[in-house]
Amino acid sequence: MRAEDEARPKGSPDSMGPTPYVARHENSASPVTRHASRPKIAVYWTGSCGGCDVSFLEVGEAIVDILSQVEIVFWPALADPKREDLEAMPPGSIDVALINGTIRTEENVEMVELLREKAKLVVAYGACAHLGGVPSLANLSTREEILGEVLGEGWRRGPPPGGPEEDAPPDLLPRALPLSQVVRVDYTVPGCPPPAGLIGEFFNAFLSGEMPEPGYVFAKAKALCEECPRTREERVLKRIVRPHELLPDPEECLLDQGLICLGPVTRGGCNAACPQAGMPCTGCLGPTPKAGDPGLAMISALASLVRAGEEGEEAIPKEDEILDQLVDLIGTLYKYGVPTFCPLSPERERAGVRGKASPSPVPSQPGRGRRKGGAA
Amino acid sequence: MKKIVIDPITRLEGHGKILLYLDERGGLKDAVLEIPELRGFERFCRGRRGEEMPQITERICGVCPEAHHLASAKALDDCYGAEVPEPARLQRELFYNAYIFSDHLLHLVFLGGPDLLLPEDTPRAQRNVLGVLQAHPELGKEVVRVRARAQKILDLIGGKAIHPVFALPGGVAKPLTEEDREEVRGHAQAMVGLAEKMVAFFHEQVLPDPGIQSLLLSDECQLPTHYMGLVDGEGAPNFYHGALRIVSAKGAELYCGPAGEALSLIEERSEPWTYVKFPYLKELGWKGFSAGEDSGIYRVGPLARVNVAERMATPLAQEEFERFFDHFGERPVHATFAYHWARLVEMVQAAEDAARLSEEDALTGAEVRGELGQPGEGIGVIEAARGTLFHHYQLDGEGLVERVNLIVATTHNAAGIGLSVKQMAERVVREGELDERLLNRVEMAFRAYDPCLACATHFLPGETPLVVEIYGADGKLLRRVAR
Repeated sequence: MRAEDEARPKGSPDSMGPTPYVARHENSASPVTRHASRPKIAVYWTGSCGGCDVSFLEVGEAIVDILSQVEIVFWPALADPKREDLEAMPPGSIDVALINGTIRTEENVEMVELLREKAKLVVAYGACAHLGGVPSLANLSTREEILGEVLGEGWRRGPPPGGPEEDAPPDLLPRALPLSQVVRVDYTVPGCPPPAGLIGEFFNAFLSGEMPEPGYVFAKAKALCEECPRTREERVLKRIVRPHELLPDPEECLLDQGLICLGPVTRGGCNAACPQAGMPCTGCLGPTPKAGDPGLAMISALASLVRAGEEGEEAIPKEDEILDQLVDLIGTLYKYGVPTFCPLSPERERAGVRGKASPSPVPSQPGRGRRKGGAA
Repeated sequence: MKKIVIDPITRLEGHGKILLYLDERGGLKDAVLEIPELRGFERFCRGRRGEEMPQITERICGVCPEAHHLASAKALDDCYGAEVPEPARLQRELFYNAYIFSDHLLHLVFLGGPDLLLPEDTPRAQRNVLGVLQAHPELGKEVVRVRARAQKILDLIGGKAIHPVFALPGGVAKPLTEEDREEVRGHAQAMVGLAEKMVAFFHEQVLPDPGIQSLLLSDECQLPTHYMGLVDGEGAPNFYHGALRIVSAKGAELYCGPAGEALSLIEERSEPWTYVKFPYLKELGWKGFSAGEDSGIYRVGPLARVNVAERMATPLAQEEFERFFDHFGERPVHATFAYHWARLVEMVQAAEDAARLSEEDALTGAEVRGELGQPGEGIGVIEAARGTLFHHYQLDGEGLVERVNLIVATTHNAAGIGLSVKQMAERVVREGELDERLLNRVEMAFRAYDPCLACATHFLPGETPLVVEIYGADGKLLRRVAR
């Protein structure tokens, strides 16, 4: 696993930064200074792809060591305890529940509420639990549209032939939600999936009993650009290109080359994995505390890059011309966070999905005081 | 009526529960695998940028993102009429074989492994990867070590091992360096070494077990279905590309031809009690949940691929392939539990092929992007670890997604999995009191398929013909709608 120092800016002045040691809060869910016996952990998936569950193995051989220091009491992907076993556990008896996936069905809600009751700490693990994730792009449609399209118009839930009504599959929620919109979340390990270094950082903190303040996000507060080895020189955006239209220079900043890289507004912590692979960052670690809304922050960053190359009055038309080359704004700027950053009605969201910038709820002319309608 | 619920079913990818309905005398009335999840990728892929699809559809499944990533890229190659240059194709194929190796290994040791490598009376709390590591510490640690090396290949070529980013229409993101090749070569050789050890271990410690023998050979564990998979020009399985071959339960060739065209051979039906759909061969039709030569139900994945193949592509895999068919003395092999063994055969080929590809001169060539034409319609077909995967897109003039159709491995197998679960439930109900051990055996029936229920419920049906039956509260069929 990577050195935790790298991902955890010790002594950083940033208010979101970690504190090396936290005294236990009275009456809080905060753990344990040091675990007397092997701490009990649960790992659960809701509307998820399973990548978060597999990501634990990505820390390599260290996982054998980590797993030997904990007791897995519930982890459907890897272990056999059932829901009845979880229900039988006393409240607060699990030290930490790591929950991944978007909250998509009624059953997801029941399960995370159950885990919240049983666990001292709940961690939102991965981009879906953190922000809603890729599957929450489904909020661009209504539940009925999704069901109709997937299972056919006229499809209705029901039990298996001869089975009681209660055996019908659970209903979908009207929208996909991040974990924090359903239960209280103590910590977040972000990413799609979380990078090995951040997973290691979490377990180091957890197993040593030195957890940061509740609310901490296990990633850098500084932007991904800070850890990206590409060189940034021009700081001018002359055109926008899409990844399949350009074989980028291996050394130069992708944004300088016209690729929409979300590095400037996204937390570091992955060693800029995608830019290093020649592809732009799509923002899976979530926005930096400074960026707030990643779409708005990115649009203003782009606008300032465009303006930098222009002078006086001519700046405005040129800016529009370049920014109009952006397609699929929501998919590009809010790929992992529709329910967190775009709490709009499906109709409004849909209006922004197709075609170019103009009908989008995200302003194509940022910095002129118009904010996305209805956004928090 | 008595009901037994196994919820959630475990050591697989995604959500599922098994419902066993028993009559007054304890006999099995019905056994159902219900999939209680749905995310709806079908809707929200529309309007996205085409070149983003490899990075969106891979979020259908984090266990096999590589399969979606490359099936998507292949569909995009077709959409743009692009010829993929040799260095890019080699990068993709090498990456893909490393994935098949890693995914099969994950299942053989961590997911399905506890059923194969631990005594059957192991309590529920220990029947997991840690149990395996304790029972077989040396092999277990080496598996973790070598799997990490296979993941390094994915990371190095793909940019990220889970949810890779490198594939684009017409090629890949960037050239590989000679330094990269050196590293990859070392990892691939370690994979071959482990594959050999796994084969030896399997023959010494797993296969001789009478319980395993019974699961492989007893009549009640056979499920005669048709089989589908990609083969190369020599008739060996190829995971990345090839012609699609379908053979019947009796071994007759039903189709062998361009993979993309095979989409038109398939129809699907939905049921009210599950979010998964059931594909079948259109020509044979849906005959209910029953197997056999006349049924339209077919299976995909490791067992299907060795059944449609004439040989394996590499020497060590060929040896194991021969031992496999010698053991059963028939083709096709219908034992559901033989999926595990077929997985091992394939894992050997994937390791050997990765090692061979790592030596190819052109692997480090600078030409990694083919010329792109105007965006349009395209189909990509690939063998995911769990079976044949189809991606079918229509892009508009700007290269944005208009329509998507996708049929994934576990969906093809949905009916077969249901039948295997029922078969096993019948067997264990006869054996007596349904304790933890016997109920796990019911789960072993689906685990043989290494199912990915996240995949199965998040596919994008679009144009695939679909049949919906609507039942009244009394269970009577009210209406049948076909699209």
